[in-house]
Amino acid sequence: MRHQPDGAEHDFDAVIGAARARESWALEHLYTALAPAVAGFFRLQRAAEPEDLTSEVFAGVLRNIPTFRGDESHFRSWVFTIAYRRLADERRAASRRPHVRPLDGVLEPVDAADVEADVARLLATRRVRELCATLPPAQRDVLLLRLVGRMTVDEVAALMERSRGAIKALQRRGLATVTAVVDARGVPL
Amino acid sequence: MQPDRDREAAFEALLQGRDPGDAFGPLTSFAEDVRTATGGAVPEPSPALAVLLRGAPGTGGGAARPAPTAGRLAGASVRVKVALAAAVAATGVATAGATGRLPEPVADAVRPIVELVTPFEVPARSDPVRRRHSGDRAHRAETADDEVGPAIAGPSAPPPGQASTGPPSSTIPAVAAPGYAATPPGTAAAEPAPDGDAEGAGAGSAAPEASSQPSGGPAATGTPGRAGQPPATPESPPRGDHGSGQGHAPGGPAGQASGGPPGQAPGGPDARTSRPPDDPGPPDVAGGGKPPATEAPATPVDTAGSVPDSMSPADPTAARIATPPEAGPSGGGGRAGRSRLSGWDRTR
Repeated sequence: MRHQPDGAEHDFDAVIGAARARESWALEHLYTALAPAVAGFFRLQRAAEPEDLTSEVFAGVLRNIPTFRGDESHFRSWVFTIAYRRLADERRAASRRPHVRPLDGVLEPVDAADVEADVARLLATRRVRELCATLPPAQRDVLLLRLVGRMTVDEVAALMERSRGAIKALQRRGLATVTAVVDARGVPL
Repeated sequence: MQPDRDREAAFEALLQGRDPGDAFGPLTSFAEDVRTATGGAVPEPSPALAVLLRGAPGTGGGAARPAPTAGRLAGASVRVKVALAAAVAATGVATAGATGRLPEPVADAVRPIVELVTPFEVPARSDPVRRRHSGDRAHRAETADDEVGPAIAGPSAPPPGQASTGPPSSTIPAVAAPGYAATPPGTAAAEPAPDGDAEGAGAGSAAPEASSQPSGGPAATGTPGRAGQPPATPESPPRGDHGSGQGHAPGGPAGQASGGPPGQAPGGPDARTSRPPDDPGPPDVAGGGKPPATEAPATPVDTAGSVPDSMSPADPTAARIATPPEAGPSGGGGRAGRSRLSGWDRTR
């Protein structure tokens, strides 16, 4: 198994090429780079099992990576496209089974190595969740896909199967709601 | 109040990593929280994903589904396909043969094979008895009374000269009880129709009259209440002209089942013995070497204790039971059951 050389700079094309060749270092590189964002996306969307969903998303990504064509931004959008569709499946499945209320107080275990960062992350996650709870699902999806997935309006429109104008309207209304809520609560220091 | 357009521009600036300004503090705070919340530690991969991360080829994330039957069959080798097709064809032919749906030449070819490898017997058109399972013979021999009834059902006695339309009389053992050799040839009208076309006709009409004990022989018994038994009326014309006309039952005109005097059993089996000698009959019938009418004398058989009173001489059962083992070259005992069943089958 060939490992990633220490300190070497890897451009995206080299990593993707190595990932297509099933180089473990490239696969791990891609996973390490995007898995926290994907897991955070699921967490903010209040998915029941964010880590499991993240693993499922990357299992699909790694299986289909030989078919991917594009640059790094496209790759990120592609990964979040898979994540969003997996989330939609999860929502449909959840609607057919008894509702499981997530444990908001226990988000995830805190890493003892960097407690301050983890606490800050937990607090930030709680705030964003509370903010997103005030948004309609479509507005929430648009804002999170744009912020976390760094997807363009057109990409979000294609993913959500809506027009560009509809996505922009959703985004506009979502931003207005977020601004109003944060103004009311006050900006955290 | 910030206009929507300015807010959108500030949001785009945040997405590009630029500072939108202090006027958009809430948006900046929100974007920072989102980035913080999604920038945690790398989650632990699942076992399946860990395998993939080690560079193993993807397995679809789950256990491989077994191929459906059609897929397996399509993937089988030519040899397997040929063997499977042959097995299906053999099974089909055997089934068709066992149910008697094959043409007779084909059935003749298939019969020994089927009978060799299966417990079934392929029926022959000339030997309807073989349509039955061999294992049923004993049972059917015991229940002959119930089964023979429809066999003897038939329309009224055929007119003279039409006896050839009936079943080959050689299928019925040449038996004659004492005193019935004199049965006129017309009594053969009580023979079962060859194709069962008289099924249900005249059900049991002649049974009560035929139940009287014959005066001429102990084997003469009536069969009461036979379903489908044809009415044996005095008007029934004598059957055919192949009968010798000898040995008329006392007082019993041809074809009379009810017209005879009490104790007379018309339509005795000896009427069947009046088959002309040139009628060979089916070769595989019990007692296939049945002697012609001239060679089938009224065999004196003591059936007083073995023949139910309900049996009529017109009933082939009575004749069968009365058949001595030497009635045919192949042994009358075992073949008698077939003859009895043959009539039953014929009506089906």
